[in-house]
Amino acid sequence: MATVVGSIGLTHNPTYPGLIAKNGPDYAPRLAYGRLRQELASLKPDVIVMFDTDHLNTFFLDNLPIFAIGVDDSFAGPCDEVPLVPRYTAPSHRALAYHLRSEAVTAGFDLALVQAFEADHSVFVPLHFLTPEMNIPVIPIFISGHNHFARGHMSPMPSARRCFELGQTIRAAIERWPQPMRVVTIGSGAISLDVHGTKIAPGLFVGVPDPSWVERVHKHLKDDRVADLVDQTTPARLRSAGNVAGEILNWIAMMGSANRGAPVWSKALPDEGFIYAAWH
Amino acid sequence: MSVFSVDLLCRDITRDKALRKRFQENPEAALSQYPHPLSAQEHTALLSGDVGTLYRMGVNAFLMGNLARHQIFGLDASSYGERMRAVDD
Repeated sequence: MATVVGSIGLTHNPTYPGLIAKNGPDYAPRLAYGRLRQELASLKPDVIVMFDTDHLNTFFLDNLPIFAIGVDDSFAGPCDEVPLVPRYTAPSHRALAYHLRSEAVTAGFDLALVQAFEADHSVFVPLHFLTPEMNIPVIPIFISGHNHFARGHMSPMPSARRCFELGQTIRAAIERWPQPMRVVTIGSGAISLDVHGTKIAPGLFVGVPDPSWVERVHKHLKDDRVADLVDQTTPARLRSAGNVAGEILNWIAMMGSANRGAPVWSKALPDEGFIYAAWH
Repeated sequence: MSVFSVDLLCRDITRDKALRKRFQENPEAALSQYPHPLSAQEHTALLSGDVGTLYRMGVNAFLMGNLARHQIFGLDASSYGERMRAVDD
C-alpha cells in the first residue's frame, strides 16, 4: 500500500522569489525554504499531494468549486506571471488522482474534477523552491480558502473541521492504493494575510492583520494540538486575520493527512504572516 | 451580474496587456468600449477610482487591487490603500 511518509506546511508568497534573490544568505525565508527542500529530499517521495488555494486563475467567479482535484498526467504554471519563477510543467499521477477522487466522493467529499488545467503561484512557488527539477509527480487538491466578497457577500469557506476530515479521507485513500508508494502531503498558504483588502498596510498592497494568530497557530502545531487549532479556526477568526487567511485550511487538511506528533522542524515569521514546518 | 463584469475587467487587465494599455492611456474610452455590461454606478465609481464603493457593492478585492498595481483610474498603492482601509469592514 501507499504510505504518507511526511508532510510539509509553507507559504506560497509570490514576492519571495524576488526578495530571496535580493537579500543575503541569512534571509529567513531563504533559510526556511532551504530547510524544507532538505526535508522533502530526505523523505524520498514518489508523489506529492498538495492542498492549495487557487487565486482565481485556475478557476474564476463564474465557476468556483469549494473542493477540487487535478486529474491529469501533467500541468503547467505558474499561470499568473510570478517574477523570477519560470514557466514549469509539473508531472502528475493521473491514476492516483483518479483513485483519490473516487475514494473521496464515496466518503462524502465532492471533489470537482479538473483536467487540462494550469495552476498558479499557490502550487508553483512551493515547487520552485522545494523541487525545481519538477521530477516528482504532484497532485493538487484545491480548497476554496479566500474571502472573495465584501461585507455581506462573503463567500462561505469550508469549515476547518471539514478540511481536517478531507485530509483524513485523503490519507485513508492513499493507504488503500495497492502499490507501494511514498507520498508527501503539503499544505500551501498564509496564516494571517490581507491582499488588496481593507486590512492592508499603508503604502503596500498587503498587510498582516493578526501576527498573534500566527504565533498561536505555531504553538498549537508544535504542541500537536490539532483539535484546538481546528476549533479556533472559525470564520470570525479567519476574517480578522485577512482576506486570504483562509489558506490555513490547506494546512489543516494537510494535518488531517499527516503523521501525528510534533513537527521535526518549524519556523514562524509572525510579522510576515507565515509558518514553515515539516512532519515525518 | 453587473458586479461580475467589474470582476472580469479587473482580471482582463492583468491578462491582456493591450487592453491594460488602453485603460492606462484613455480610461474613459476604454471603459465605454468594454464589452461586458456595467451599471451607471459602477461606471462612475470605476472612472473616479472609488474602490471603497466598488468593494461595498461586492467587487472582489483581490482582483480589484490590480487596477492600482497597473495605475488605472488614477489609482496607486497610496490612494488605493487609503480608500480600502476607510471601509468599515
